[in-house]
Amino acid sequence: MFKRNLPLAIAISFGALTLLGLLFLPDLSRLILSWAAFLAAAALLLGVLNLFAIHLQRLTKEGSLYSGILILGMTAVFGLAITDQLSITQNGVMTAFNWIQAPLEAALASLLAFFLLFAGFQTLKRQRSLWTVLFVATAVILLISQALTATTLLPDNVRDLFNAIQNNINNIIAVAGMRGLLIGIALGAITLSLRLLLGMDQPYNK
Amino acid sequence: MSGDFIGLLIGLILTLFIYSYVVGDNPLYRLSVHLLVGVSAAYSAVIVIRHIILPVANQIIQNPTERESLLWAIPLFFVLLLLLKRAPGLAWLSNNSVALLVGVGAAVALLGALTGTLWPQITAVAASDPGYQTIIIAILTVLTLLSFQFTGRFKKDGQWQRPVWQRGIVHIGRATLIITFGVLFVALLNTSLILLSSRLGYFLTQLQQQLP
Amino acid sequence: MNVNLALSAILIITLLLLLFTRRQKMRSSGAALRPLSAIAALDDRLGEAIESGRQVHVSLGQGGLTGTAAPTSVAAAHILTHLAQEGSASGAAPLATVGEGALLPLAQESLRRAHDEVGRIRDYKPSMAQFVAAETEPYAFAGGVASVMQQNNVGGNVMVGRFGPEIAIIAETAARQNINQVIGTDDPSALAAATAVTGDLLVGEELFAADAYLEGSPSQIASLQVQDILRAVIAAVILILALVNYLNG
Repeated sequence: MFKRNLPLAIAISFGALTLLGLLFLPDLSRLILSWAAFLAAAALLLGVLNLFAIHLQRLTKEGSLYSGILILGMTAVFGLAITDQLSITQNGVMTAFNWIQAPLEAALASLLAFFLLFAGFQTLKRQRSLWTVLFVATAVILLISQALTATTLLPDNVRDLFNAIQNNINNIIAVAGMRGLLIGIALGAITLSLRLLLGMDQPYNK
Repeated sequence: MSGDFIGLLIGLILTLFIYSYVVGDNPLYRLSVHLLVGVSAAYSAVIVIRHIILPVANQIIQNPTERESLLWAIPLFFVLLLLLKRAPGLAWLSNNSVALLVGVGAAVALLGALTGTLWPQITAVAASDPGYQTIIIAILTVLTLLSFQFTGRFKKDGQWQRPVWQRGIVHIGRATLIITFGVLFVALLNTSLILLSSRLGYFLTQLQQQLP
Repeated sequence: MNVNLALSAILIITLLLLLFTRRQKMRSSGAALRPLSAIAALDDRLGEAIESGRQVHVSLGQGGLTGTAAPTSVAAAHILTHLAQEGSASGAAPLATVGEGALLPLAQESLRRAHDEVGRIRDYKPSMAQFVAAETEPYAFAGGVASVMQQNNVGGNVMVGRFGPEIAIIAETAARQNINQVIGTDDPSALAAATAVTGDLLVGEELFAADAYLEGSPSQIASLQVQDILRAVIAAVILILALVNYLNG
């Protein structure tokens, strides 16, 4: 019983104190949030250790080349952090970031266009429903409208028509859809947060 | 060869490895993704140590008896509990640290959802330009919101039924939502295409400048 | 929104929640909830994976526990718990990936307890939950999760929690491997990308409601009833505000 009640008491009390702080006592909330950030930072370090341990095991047991590369990348950055600290290297970690991480992330981010295109082309093949047809139709209409309004070859009245279609979809339907979605999400978040603060929901005791 | 040129070359090669996925999954793509995961995890850890852990450690070491230093004993205690996750028989203690995070997060999220989303979204209706568009947006917003209704009643044949006043109209709300996703999908596609072309443009410009 | 108004709203919603929970506890029958195909699909994905001797992959996304994404991550953890309980009973526990440090102990505890409950604690390994990347590195996370799926014997993919548009990388990788998916998130861009890949979606608010469908405790059901009441009130307020705005204009 104690094993379940102690985390419950901690969640409720820290939740209440944070709420109190956020509403009336900014210094209190700042203090608790800095503690939580510190704890989350420690959890991140444990996560990185978990990643390292899993791939080290895979490297030693299965001889996975990919895990070897991951371990190599990790140890290189940690090594550079140490040599930076000892002033053997200057900005070694930042160089690794600029030369390796930044281009790889930017490449994956720009490759998103291909992933979206692949997914878009396959949508109707993968799922056939009225909603999917509407989704694809919206995307196609908008893409065509964008292309046609950008060209000067079409007569003005045709371009105006496509412009109006685009504007109505973007500024009326999408605004309403987004607003309805966000209000719903807020309702869900509010009731779940309250259940957590009241101890009705205990994910740490699952 | 200058350091900038080496960096550019490494970046270009790794970018090409990633782009090779376009022709299908392959070892070069997987290799570069693993490299990214390893480097980014280590980089995050270094940043966290440098900017969060070390300043606190320095403060405690330099002024161990100060009130602020003593207060850090509380989060440090919870960090200790978190470390017990792998200790047999004591693993449950780490739930206390997770409970602290959940409690704090719930309070932040509650106020965030209330004051940062719900209130601004509702009051935005009153702040809109008066006109027929505002009325249409309001109606479609309401229909979208109602399409999420969870509770209702079961008919005799076991079919779920919405409250009477909602029947027949909420399909318009669902359609509004799907069209919104279509709009967002196109926006995403446009953004990523711009990113792709700017990435390619960056390498072309840089290579032109660096090569004699 | 001023402090008094926020506090009043919190108090009213709390009272409603307590009232409806009490009412729900006294009722013998469960509530009539709108069927959600994605909820049924969760067990389908697990069943398909078990039948083919493979694992279900569950990703909890990149939402932290200390910020505004906390409820999203908690809602996602409920789904992992359900799949862990069902899966470990059949000796096919899910493989979990997380993109935020604090989610790792939550996922590990969920898997450990599920194994313990069915008397299979010896089968539990902490590596069943894997950290992939920090929340500040969404593309490393997406690429890493896609790799985890490719390297492990994954027969079903469930992505629930906070994701961004990079979810398309994971979802499309899974789709290319003919892995059926369920996606649930509260991020509009991620939802747009996911709509192109699967019909089994938990859209925004539906993700928060998943626990009520899977566990159905009185407070979870009460939560949905309160949400529906607030929904009706907010709908009325929006229509009135729009009308007043129109007439004043």
